[in-house]
Parts: sequence; C-alpha cells; structure tokens
Amino acid sequence: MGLINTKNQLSAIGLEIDAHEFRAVQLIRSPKGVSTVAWAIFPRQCTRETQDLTTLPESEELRWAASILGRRGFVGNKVSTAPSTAQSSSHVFELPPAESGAPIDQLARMEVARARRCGPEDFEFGFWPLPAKGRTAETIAVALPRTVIHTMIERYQDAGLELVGIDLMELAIHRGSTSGVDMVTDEINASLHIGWSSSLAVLTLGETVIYVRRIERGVSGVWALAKERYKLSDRGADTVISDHDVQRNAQASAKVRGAVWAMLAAELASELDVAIAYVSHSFRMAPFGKIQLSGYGTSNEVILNKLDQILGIPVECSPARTLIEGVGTGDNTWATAGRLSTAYGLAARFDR
Amino acid sequence: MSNEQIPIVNLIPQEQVHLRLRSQWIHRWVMGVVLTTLVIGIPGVYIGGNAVLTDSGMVAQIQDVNIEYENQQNAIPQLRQKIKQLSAEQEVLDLIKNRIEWSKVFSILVASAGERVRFSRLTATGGGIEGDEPIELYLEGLAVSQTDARAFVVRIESTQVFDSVELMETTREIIEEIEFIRLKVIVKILSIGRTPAEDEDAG
Repeated sequence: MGLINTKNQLSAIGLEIDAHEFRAVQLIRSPKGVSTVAWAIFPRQCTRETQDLTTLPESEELRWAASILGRRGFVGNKVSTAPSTAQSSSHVFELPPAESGAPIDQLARMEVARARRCGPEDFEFGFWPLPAKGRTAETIAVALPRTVIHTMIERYQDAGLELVGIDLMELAIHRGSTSGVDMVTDEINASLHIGWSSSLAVLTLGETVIYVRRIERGVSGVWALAKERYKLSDRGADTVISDHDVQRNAQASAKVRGAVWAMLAAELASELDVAIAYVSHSFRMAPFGKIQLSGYGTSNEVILNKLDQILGIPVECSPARTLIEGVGTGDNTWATAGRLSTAYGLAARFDR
Repeated sequence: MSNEQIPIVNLIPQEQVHLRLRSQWIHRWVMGVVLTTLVIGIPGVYIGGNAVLTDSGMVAQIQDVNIEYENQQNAIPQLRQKIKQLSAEQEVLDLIKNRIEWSKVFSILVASAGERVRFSRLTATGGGIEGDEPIELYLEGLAVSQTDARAFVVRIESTQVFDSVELMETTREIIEEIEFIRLKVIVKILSIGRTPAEDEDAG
C-alpha cells in the first residue's frame, strides 16, 4: 500500500479514551474505497485504584499510548478525538432560516453564550438544524469550554501528538455506528453507545441527530459487580465485559455474565425507552427503525435480549465493513469492531 | 443514504487551525527545499558553484563600482569648489584680457630710445572702458640728430608690438647752444592682446 500515493488519503488516528482503555482506528481512503490501516484496544496505564481517571489522560500517559500506537502500525501523529459529553453542554433554540441571509453563526454563538451565561468567545461549538416540527424550526448546538479545548491541545502536544480534530461524541458515535448501515430518510433510529462510566443514547431522524441522552451507567458497574460478588480477578472481570467466549466452564461463565450484565441492561433499556418516547412524541409521524449498539457489550446476549424485550425494537451492531475486515476473522470480530466503532467514526472524519 | 451527510464539527479554534496549517506549509516548503537539494544537489552544486563564483565576481564588481561612485560623489563638492574658483579667475582674466602691460610698453620705448633720444612728453588716448578700442600714444622728445630720431622710430617698428608708428614731425631746437631735433611720434595700437604679426597670420 503506497502511503505516499497522492490519490490515497490517510486519516488521523481516531482515538476514543475512557477511564478503562484506549481504542484507536486509522483508515486510508483510496480510489478503491476506505480500508483500515491499524486498530488497537489497550488498557489505561494508570490503575483505577491509584487515580481518578478521566477521559483526558495526562501528557505522560498519552506519550506512552503514542508509543504503543507506533508499534501497532499507526502512521503519523495526528489525532482526532472527542471529549466526554460531561464536559459539554447542549442547547436548543430557534434561529432564522439560512436563506434569510442573517449571520446564523453569530446568532447561534450569542444564543449559546446567553444560555451558558458566559462570553461568546469562552467556548467552541457545533450546531445543526433540527427537522421542522410544524412551524417551529429549531437548532441544536453543543458547546465545549475553550479551557477544556486548550488543555486537550496542550496535553496532546506535550505527548508529541498533533490534535487535528475535536469532534462531538454524539456525532462520532452516530458516524461510527451507522457506517455499515443504509440509513432510511425520515426514520427514527437510535445509537446506544455503552461506555465505561456512562453511556450515550443518540437518536436520529434520517441523518440528523435530534436528541442525545446521557445515561450515567456504564460497564464499570458490571466490572465491579463481577469482582465483588463473584470474586473475579481483573482479568476475569475483563473477560466478562469483553464478551470473550471461554471454552472452559462456558456454562458457568455465561451464568455469571448474565447475572452481572442484567442490571445494566435493564437500566439502559429503561433510559433508552424514555428517550425514544420523547422523540416519538416530538416527531409523531416518523416510524422507528433500529437500535445500533456500539462500545462495550455489543454482542452481549443479555443486553440484546433486554433491549428487545423492553423496547420491542430491532437491536443490532453493524460496524463498518472495512473495520470488520481490519479486525480480522474470529469469534470476537463483531464485538471488537463494535467496541471500536466510535474510534472509527473519529477516524472517518479524515481530519488533516 | 450514506452517513457522509453527518455534519463535521471541529471544536479546535480557528486560530489554532491556521497556526497548524501555517507550520505545515512551512514544514512542506522546508522538506521541498531539502528534497530538491538532495535530488539535484550534485549537478546543482557544480553548476551552481560556477554561478556562485560568477555571482561573487559580479558582487565584487558591484562593490567596486559602488565605492567608485561614492568617491566620485564625495569629489563633487570639491570639483564644484574648483569650478567656482576657476570661474572667478576666468572673470578676472576676462576683465584684464584687454589691458595693456604698460611696463612692457615703457620698457620697449625706453629701450628703443637708447642714449640719444630723450622723452619730453608721453600721452595716451583711446582704449575705451573695456580696453578694446584702439589706443594712440603721443610721444614727444629730443633726439641728438635726425638720424637718431628716425632710428628711434625704426627700432620701435621693429619690435612689431605696435600696429603703426608714425613720425609726425621733426624740428630743430637749440638748447643751451646745442642743436637738437625735436620729434613727435604717434604710435597706434589697434587690436589689443595680439601682435601685428599675429594679426597678419589671422588675416
């Protein structure tokens, strides 16, 4: 593969970081299409016992991660990432139509500044129009404080990495989880990203993100339950959350897995139900499509069954075909690809 | 419908993006220069070396010309001063060019008179304000004999300093019982600054 071929475009390293692990994907776009250059999943350097981990590691840990990425076949030092939704704020307001010639960007910024009660230059934001509901034309905006952005840029820079893209987590999840899906216009779909400390439900109408619900439940609870109630080691707990098939004592393993995932599955289904009800109420004429899973437990039977049981909506994990091909063949291919789909969504931006 | 329609939001501030793009361009330019140097370096060094040598010679020449120019620029005030001085001298010369050196005239007359002619009167008329008009000298004196009087006139003529020498009158005169010849001579100077010989050559 000729990387210096001008017809080929190498993506930045899509990097998703939570309190548990790093997930990274790099792509290349050629006339033949998009293919995966490299992928990696590896745990955080700092242990949970010694540090209150955030999604933004210190420069030293990022440097360590960069060295691993280099060894795993990633090319270059450009990175695209997304901050945690805990650090951003979401706002919905009305704006004049784009055809009116009004300075939409400035008006949106002022609206966000008013809502956040801060200066218009104290944050960066992204916004897009929501589908019309009757006569109402609303816009959704997601803002992130500049202090957070500058801290991110500095830490990556100190680690020898170049931060070229900071995406919104909901857009990265949506892009990653629907890359392998043909979206139907005017159909409501949901992407459920199961994270370590929290999860995110992203609801869309066609291609447009219309509602985001942060769920303060993640796989860390599953991990803790496996360790505390079933006295599993760290490695054993990792196996439970990773959906790895264990040939030895498979029946016992499945029983433990079912027990520890059940509570999270019920909570996620309940939260997602609320989100779907809200969106369905807002857009009554739109039919509901599917729920796309990403993150941890995308192949977990307990999650799939519980969501299906409570919501009655088809649930699937459809990572991009190129990502599945990049991950390779094996029993855990779909689970691993599903876990990497947000990192894929970040790489698929092809930031320069 | 593909998900390429999902909006691309980049929260990196524009100033950071511009800064990064600028450094990227600088990096690319530097790399381009380095690559160009490597690719065409060896023949380039040979060809370019000559060019550099030529350039250095031209630079030296330019420096020399500049130095010379500066020297000449510095000499201009002195030359102007010199021109002013010469102009002043020229003005003086213009003023005195038509003047007669009377000392020479008197010397010629005295020398021509010798021991046997004595002047009793000498007047000059003409010349004008600028000294460019004919001058007429009137000489009156006593000669020992007629021969001495005529010899005096001839000697004056032979100097070829004067345009015409005319012995107007000679009369006998007794002074203390000795006979002398009183002579009256008119000497004319028509063209100032040139001898009659020169006038003939010019004519």
